[in-house]
Amino acid sequence: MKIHKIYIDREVAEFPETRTICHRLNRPVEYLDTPETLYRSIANAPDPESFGKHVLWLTRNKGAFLRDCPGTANYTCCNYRILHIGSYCSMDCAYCILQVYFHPPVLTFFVNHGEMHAALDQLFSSAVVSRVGTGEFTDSLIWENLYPISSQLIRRFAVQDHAVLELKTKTTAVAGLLELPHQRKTILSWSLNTPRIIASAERFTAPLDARIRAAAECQAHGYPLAFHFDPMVIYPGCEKEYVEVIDQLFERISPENIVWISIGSFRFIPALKTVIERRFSDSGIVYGEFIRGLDSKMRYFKPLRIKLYRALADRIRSRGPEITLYFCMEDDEVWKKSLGFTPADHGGLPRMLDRSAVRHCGLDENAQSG
Amino acid sequence: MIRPDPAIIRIETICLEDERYRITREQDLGALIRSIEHLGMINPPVLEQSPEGYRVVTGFRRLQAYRRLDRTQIEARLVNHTCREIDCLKLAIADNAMSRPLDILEEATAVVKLSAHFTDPRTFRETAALLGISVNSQLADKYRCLLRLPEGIRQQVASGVMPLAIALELESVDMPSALAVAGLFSMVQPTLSQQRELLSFMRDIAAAAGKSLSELIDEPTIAEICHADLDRKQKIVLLRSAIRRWRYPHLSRAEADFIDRRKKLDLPSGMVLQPPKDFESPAYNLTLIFETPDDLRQQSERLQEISLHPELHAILERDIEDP
Repeated sequence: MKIHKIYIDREVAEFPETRTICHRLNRPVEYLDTPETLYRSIANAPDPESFGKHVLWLTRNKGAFLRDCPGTANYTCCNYRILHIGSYCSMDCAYCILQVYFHPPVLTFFVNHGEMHAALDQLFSSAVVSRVGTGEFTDSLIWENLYPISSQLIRRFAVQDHAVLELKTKTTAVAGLLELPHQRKTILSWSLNTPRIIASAERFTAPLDARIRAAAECQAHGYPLAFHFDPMVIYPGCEKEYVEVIDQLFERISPENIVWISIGSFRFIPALKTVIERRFSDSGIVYGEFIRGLDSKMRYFKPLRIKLYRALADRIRSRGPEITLYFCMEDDEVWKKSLGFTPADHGGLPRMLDRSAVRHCGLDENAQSG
Repeated sequence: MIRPDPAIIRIETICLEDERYRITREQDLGALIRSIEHLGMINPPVLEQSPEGYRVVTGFRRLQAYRRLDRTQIEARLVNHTCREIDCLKLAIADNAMSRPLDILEEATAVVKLSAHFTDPRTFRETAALLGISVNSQLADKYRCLLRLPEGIRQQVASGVMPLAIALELESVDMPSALAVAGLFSMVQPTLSQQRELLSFMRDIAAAAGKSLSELIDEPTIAEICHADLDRKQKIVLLRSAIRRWRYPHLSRAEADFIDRRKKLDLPSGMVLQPPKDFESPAYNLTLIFETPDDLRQQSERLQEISLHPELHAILERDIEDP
């Protein structure tokens, strides 16, 4: 992470977390009463999305630390819960929704951890299974050099048995996590894509082989794992290349250690197209056969999605028939035609995933499915 | 601002090449020459003294007509020495805008020249309004883009063949491509929404194929449609259909398959089957139209048969084949 300057919300200037980060980063600091001047300088930059990756805004999370995945209408959501530790990312993926989700996009880290831990206390005291992740609004592992947020969370989740933490990443920054007493309550997960897409659309991320090697290391240290083939991109020869990624994955990873694999294809709000065309002019990912989905996002024409999903699912099942496979934001028709069943056949998607979490992570079997 | 008494100025001392105050685009001088020959100069041009002689503030065409008539001198009015460039520009704009409607290029020229003298958008807007032009900063930006476009495209905008919105989109493409698009639209003359759709699809197709728009437009499929012995509307239908098939090959194929299969269902009149938009939702729409209970009963019996028809199952299954 190449931060040029730290902006600090005056309200959190004296927080210990703020001091730790400033000490570790050792970069120029500016204190602000409100973020407007920072927002203006980002908005006025020639490439605001890139500028926002090189400044860090330390502030309070003024909303809820734990929130439900936004999901969208008409498609099935997994009811994952987001632990909102920060926003945006130091890596630079063409398809990333965060480029247009925040106005303006800026690396933000919340330092009011007292409130975060209070939210977790409340979560752990309820007798329902929860799946919690930090990788929705940011990459889970980019922050570790600034502040050991993931290490702290791993320790916290290790001493309860109702919830699992999923750390989702495209990095290999796992060295500091390997020896932690995780008690299998943390799932380390990687977004995977074909080497072609990683090279053309995922700037500053780890190569595929490095991600799989990092996952194998975590496996060796007893961590349960998960993988996300999302967003899959359709291009000539993509089926063969995605299947090769599966083969490469199972050369090092044992199917028994995989809690789940999610599958989803590239979808985007229309406003993202112009950003991608401007910032990733060689990428070409926005020129697929996209139609406007029922949630108003652009999606590949459905039969094309199903065809690719089938190829990937068939290969995963041939290597690990017991692996819990699921789709992120697809409807019953896609499930049925790609996997042969709908979530309702198994009690709904959240229950499917809860069961897998209970089985792989040793959660309390008597806890109710969330 | 203008000196009260006209002066007689030698034509050779007037620099017509300095167009800083020129608004008009009209090149045809025939009617004006005839008028001058018949009635003389009704409204003398306004000139500004310059180190080399005189520059024209108003009356470019009148002066050209005088030159064409081989006149050696002209009665003109001169601006005061205290008159600033902005004052001369206001005179030039008012002289044109108050006497006739400006076309879009003339208005753009006036707006762009005027806006260069203002930093405050409100003062600019109010000054333009006083001169007979209704404009805001956004429109001024658009006019600036318009004037940067090649002459061929500007002419199409002025003649109404190409809407301003489409011309502005062409600013971001390479010059040969912008001209190729302008040529295509000039030939088949689609409406604004059709131009928008065609341009959007063509840009995506070209970008996906790593081609320029001009290379795409040179493809035989498009050239054949443009040069076919068809009327304008037929060409537009064919062009839109070809470009759409190109942009959405699988979706277009699915739509064609649906229409084929629906035909094979042989639906009775009063029964309409519609697919979901882009085949995204699994829900199809069937409309029944009936007038009497008997009609409804017959429709319902036919519906039973249709529900078992293999073509209906094929429609709902909608497996994909490569186009």
